[in-house]
This record gives sequence, C-alpha cells and structure tokens, in this order.
Amino acid sequence: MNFREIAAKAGVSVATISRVINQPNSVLPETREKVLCVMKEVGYNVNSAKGGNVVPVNGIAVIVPSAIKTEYNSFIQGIISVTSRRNFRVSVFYSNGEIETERQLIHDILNYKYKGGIFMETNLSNGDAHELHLKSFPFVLAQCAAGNTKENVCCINVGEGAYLLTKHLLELKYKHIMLMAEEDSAFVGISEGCKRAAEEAKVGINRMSLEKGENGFKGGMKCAKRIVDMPKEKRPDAVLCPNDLFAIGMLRMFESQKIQVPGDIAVASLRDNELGEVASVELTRIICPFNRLGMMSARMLFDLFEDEQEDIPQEVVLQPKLEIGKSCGNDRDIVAEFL
Amino acid sequence: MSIEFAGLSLKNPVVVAAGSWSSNQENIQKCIDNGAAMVITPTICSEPTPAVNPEVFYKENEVYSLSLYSHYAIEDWEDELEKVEKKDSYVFCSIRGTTVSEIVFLAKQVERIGADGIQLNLFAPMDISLEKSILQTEEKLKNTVKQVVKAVHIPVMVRVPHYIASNVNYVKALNDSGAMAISGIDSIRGLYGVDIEKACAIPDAVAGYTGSHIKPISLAATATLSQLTNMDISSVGGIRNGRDILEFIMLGASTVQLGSVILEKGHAYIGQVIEEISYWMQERGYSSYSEIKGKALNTLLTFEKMAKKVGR
Repeated sequence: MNFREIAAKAGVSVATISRVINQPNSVLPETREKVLCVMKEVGYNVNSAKGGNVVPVNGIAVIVPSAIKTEYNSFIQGIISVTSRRNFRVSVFYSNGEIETERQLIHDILNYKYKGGIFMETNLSNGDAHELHLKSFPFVLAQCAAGNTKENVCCINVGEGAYLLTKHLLELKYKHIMLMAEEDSAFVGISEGCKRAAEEAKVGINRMSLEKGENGFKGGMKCAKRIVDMPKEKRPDAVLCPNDLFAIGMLRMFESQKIQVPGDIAVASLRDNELGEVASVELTRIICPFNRLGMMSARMLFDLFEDEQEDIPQEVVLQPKLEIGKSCGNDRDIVAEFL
Repeated sequence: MSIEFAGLSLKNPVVVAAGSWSSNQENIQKCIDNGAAMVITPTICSEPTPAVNPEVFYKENEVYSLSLYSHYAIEDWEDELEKVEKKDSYVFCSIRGTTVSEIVFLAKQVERIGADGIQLNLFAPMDISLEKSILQTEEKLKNTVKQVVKAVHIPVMVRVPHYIASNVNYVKALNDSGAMAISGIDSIRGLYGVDIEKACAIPDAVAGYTGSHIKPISLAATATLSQLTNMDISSVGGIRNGRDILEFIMLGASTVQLGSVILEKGHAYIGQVIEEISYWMQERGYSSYSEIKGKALNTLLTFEKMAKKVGR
C-alpha cells in the first residue's frame, strides 16, 4: 500500500503521511496515532519508506556559482523559507562556476550524507548526474538549460524575458539595439529570445561580447566607454545589459560623458537585482523571480523525498516579468501593468 | 437536500468564495461550522503575496479588493488545512501560476496537502499578464487546463471573468479541457474614484470590484454559461441572500458562492442564508434543487424573439 492509499484510509492528506514519517512532532498527536494505526494495520513498515532512514540528519546542500550576486542570495532565501518549515538545515557551497570545484563539492556533500541537493546554474554533465542517481542522491537543477527532460529542473525562462524586453524596445522604435552578453549558461536562451523579437520586427541585433566576470558595475562602465568611443553613426540607440549592476555602471559612464539616457541612448536590464532600485534613471528591466525559484526548487526536492512521486522528472518553468521604468523613454505611467 | 457538483455530493448549494473570509484555518472552520457545503481558499501562488493596508475599500455594498492572492505559502496552508475539521464539507484550493508547468506543480502540491478540488484562478483582474501568454488563445487555455486535469486526481474548476463567460470559443475550449466545473464571474477591474483636489487615484492600484452591483452581470454570465456548457456552474458575484441564490440556480447554477457579504455580516450569516433557501424550498414543496435548476432559462429569449413577443 502506498502513501496515497494510506492517506485515503486514514482520512488525511499525503503531506500528513510524509510528516508522520519525517517530522512526527509536527503532526497533531491524535492524527499521528491514527496514521500509525493504519500503517500497522496494513503492514506498512515506516523504516522502509524511501527517505525515512537514508540519512540521520535533515540537511540539504545548495551549490551556487558565487556569493556576490544578490539574485543568488534571493534564491537561497527562497529555499530556506521552505526548508525551515520542515525543520531541514541548508548548507551553501560556492563553485565559482567551475566544473571541477563543483565535482569536488558534490563528493564532499555525498560524504557528509546530506539528504538531497539543489544545484544552481550547474555545469554538471549527464555522466555526473548519472553517478548521483546511482548513489540514490535526490537533487534538483535550478536555472540550467530548459528542456532538460532527464532531470528534475526548475528554471526562470530567461529567453522569454529577453524576448519581452527586446520587443518593448522595438515597439518604442529603437532600431539599433545592442545585446551585451557573456557566454554563460543563460546566453543561448537570451540570444534566442532577442532574435525571436528581432525577426518578428524584421530587424537585426548586434552583440558586444563580454569577458568572464565583466558583467558587473565595472564591466558596465567599460562597455559604455567603448560605445562612447564609437563613431556616432555606429553607436547603438539602445543597449540590453546582462543585469542591473552592469546597467548602473553604464549609466554612470554615460552621465560622465554627457550622454543622455534615454535621450541619446536607451538602457535596459535583462536581470533585476536590489541595486537596480538606486539607479540614477529608473530602469526598464526584467524581473526574475529568484526567491520563487528557490522555493519551487526546494519543494521539488521534498517531492523526491516522498515515495509517492512518479519516476518521470519534473520541469517547472517560471515566467519573468517586464517592469517599465524611464530608462528607455517610456512616458506612460501605468503601462507596465498591461504587459 | 443534497446536490451533485463536480463529481461530489454537496449537502447544499452554498459555497464560500475565495477571499479574506476564508483566509486561514479559523475562517474556513467558521464557514464549515455555519453550514457551507464547500469553501474555497484564497488563491495560493508559488510565493506568498505581501499584504497591503487597507486591503479592502467598502461602501454601500460596493467592495474594492486589493487582496486577490493568499498571504500564506503552501507550507502554511499545509498546517492550516491539517487543522480544519471538514465534517461533511469540502475544501477547494484556488491556485495561480505564471506558466503551465508552474500551475501543474501547484495543483499537485495542493492535492498533496489535502485539497478536495482545485479552482484555477487564471483571469485575475489585477494581473492580466497571463492573457498575453498561456491564455492568449482558446487552444492555449484548453491545453493549460487539460494538463492540470491530467496531473491530479481531484476535480478541477476554472474561474472566469464575465467577458470569457460570454466568449463562445473560450467556453468551448474549456468544455474540451476535462474541467468538471466553471465558476464565474471574477471581480471586475475597478477604481473607487479620484480625489480631485489632490488629483490622485483611489486606491493606489486597480482593484477587484465586486458587491451587489455586479449581480446583474453575474446573472447574465450564468445564463450564458448554461447555454454553452455541460460543466457544473458555480455562480459568484454580488450574491447577498437566499433569494439571490435561488435566482442563480434557476438560471442553471449548481452551486452559488457567497463572498463579500460575509465581510459585512459575518460568518454566521452563511447559516441564515442556508436556512432561508431550505425554508423556501420546503414551503413550495420542492424536494431537490434539481427541480428548480435552470427553471427560468426557457423564459429567456433572444432579442428577436422578444421583439416578436412584445409586438404581439
């Protein structure tokens, strides 16, 4: 008899059965008794339940590329808001975006007997994932390439965000849009989103490549200077920045060079963060729900701890939202609400 | 006097709509203890929605609500629902997400925590972003609902606004989606007014407008849905008393939802309304709500037929 059948027989939810096994103290004593009686009656062995006796501690390991980005902090906060409700501890590890570091971390995580893991923007190969499956280690991949049907994946559709933002700029009649992008894990989705919007409008989009680590404030300053140094006729009339911090760097450089935003050039950001709130010009940007990404990833992981889940990997995609500020020349006050 | 709804046997046709009056275990329990056959939770999203103050503007039966989604996370609802003593009533969870996969995931989550059914809240008046994505076409709407129906083992109901209730193509798409019930209407995008001295909109954001003034719109939506669908209809919008409930049933509703009136009169009013309709039914010798369901529909004519009738 499985969780669902036991739940039906005991007149409780599947979630309650899971809690009786994993967190018995969080269940009302009379409910717990009722469930245990039904389990006994049907000969269900609590200790044989998957997840019930795998690891002595309720620990979850989270790997993120770095400690710097505020979106990763938001993601971790989302995870903690879910895990804390179930009395699980979270340990955070930083991979620096390097596959070898990530492999070493996973090796350590397995040794420390964490109950499961959430890996953000991972570089792990299918072979690495297979190894984890062989060791019966439940894990969720966050913000890896959408369309990964072999693993449990939760991601924000950054491609759709790029599409919405590019389309918005094209609707505002910008003709020479430049995408500032590093070839990271989000690059393919972002460039496809921009391309889709550009093709619909029958225009092209230029790209300025960023070096690794060049997508912060200093990178924004540097790239803005490159644009300032271009002959006027070759300058873009709008730029798509990888994130708010980069956009702030650009705004700073443009201001120092007496270039007006949005009068001379529009500046838009493909990924929000808290610092964007202090930009000298209110930014038009894509709001990426990293807190929600963390919450959903944690819930997916908890699903894997329960014996009831189907074997088919789940993929949950979250939609980003366009927030219209003043940095691209919008003059309608509440238009963002309709997008 | 029970009634069949979405494959469930309800003890009466009175349902409590999603809203602040069903915001937690305590309020849901009050609804059940006062006799509601079914209670719908506020809309549960992947992350809790921050509370604003004030959440509701109220004036002479007009309600402007800025609180469309639940302030609780699913984990909170897990605790709340576990404490609810359902007795012979049912609890549906209203849910909303930004993509099909997110909505499907939420549906499975609320089933896991003990929902007896799901209400899909796809057309929220304060956030019409889904209408540019997963609801952009009839086919997309059908696919969204179909995937939710496929993912869970409990009945699925779809809540629609008045403009969808009268859209033949969208309702047909829902007919083919596998949803067992349809509820309507949603509250309407509304602003209370403008302070002309300060040149300032009231409230600060577009709200969900409801109250007795939207009852005529809701009645027309119920009558239209009765013509367009075989799904069970749960009417909502401007219902204040037993007489209103009977009117909706006579236009084809299986169940009727009380919402903002509970804000004004309190949870005990649910019991009074149930008594009122039971008394009316008994007085007139009806033994089942199915005897009056849709009874007024055949008096509703097309304009052309009405013109001929008046002409005669």
